[in-house]
Amino acid sequence: MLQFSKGQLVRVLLDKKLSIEGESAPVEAKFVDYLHGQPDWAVVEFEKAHHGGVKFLHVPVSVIESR
Amino acid sequence: MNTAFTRKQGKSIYEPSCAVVVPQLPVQNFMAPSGKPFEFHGGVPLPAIGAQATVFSFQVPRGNNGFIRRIANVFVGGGFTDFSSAIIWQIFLDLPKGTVAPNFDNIIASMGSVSNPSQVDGIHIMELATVALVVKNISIAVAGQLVGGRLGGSFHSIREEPANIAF
Repeated sequence: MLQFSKGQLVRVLLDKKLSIEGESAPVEAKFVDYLHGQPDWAVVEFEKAHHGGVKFLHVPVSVIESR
Repeated sequence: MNTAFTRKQGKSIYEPSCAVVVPQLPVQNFMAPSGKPFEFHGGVPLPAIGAQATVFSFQVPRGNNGFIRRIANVFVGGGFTDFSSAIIWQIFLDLPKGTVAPNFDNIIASMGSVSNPSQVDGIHIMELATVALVVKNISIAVAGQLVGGRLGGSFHSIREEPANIAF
């Protein structure tokens, strides 16, 4: 069952393994969509661009929680 | 009347009456008689977001140019779909000089699997250049994925290259 809906406000639990450079804390984002054919991966849109201008990120659904 | 063939007496079979000269096939499409084939391939862990990694590279031998005629680039693991632009592959004609193959600098989808690469009409590579397949991670969280690829083709002596080669 898909637990997030498009546009939902979420928190991305970045850890050392998934961190983008300079950012490893939970990051507030908007849920964009599940990845086509890969329901265990999702695209999130950060509310502000992170290091290197990263705005969108493909992350495992397991590191996303609703807020 | 075709003088290269004569009709056999009373039969409908035509036989060549002179030697058939087969010109050398164009080196951009076919390996030259002195050519040396290559099938370079490799894989690397997905680099961090914003970073790039050389999947593999090779040097064109002295006295030779070459053509790449087969391409494969693959992503192994989760988090990527073709055309998402989340990762980008590039083929470098010479990595130290930063020369990218025209029209192969922004590959956003798998162009073939390593076991079944796609055919291209020939990317010209030059003597002593370091040719490389490079991947950039734009926006995929690293979680143990691999990126791989294959470039196949052949080297040939520079002497066998026509002077009027267009690229």
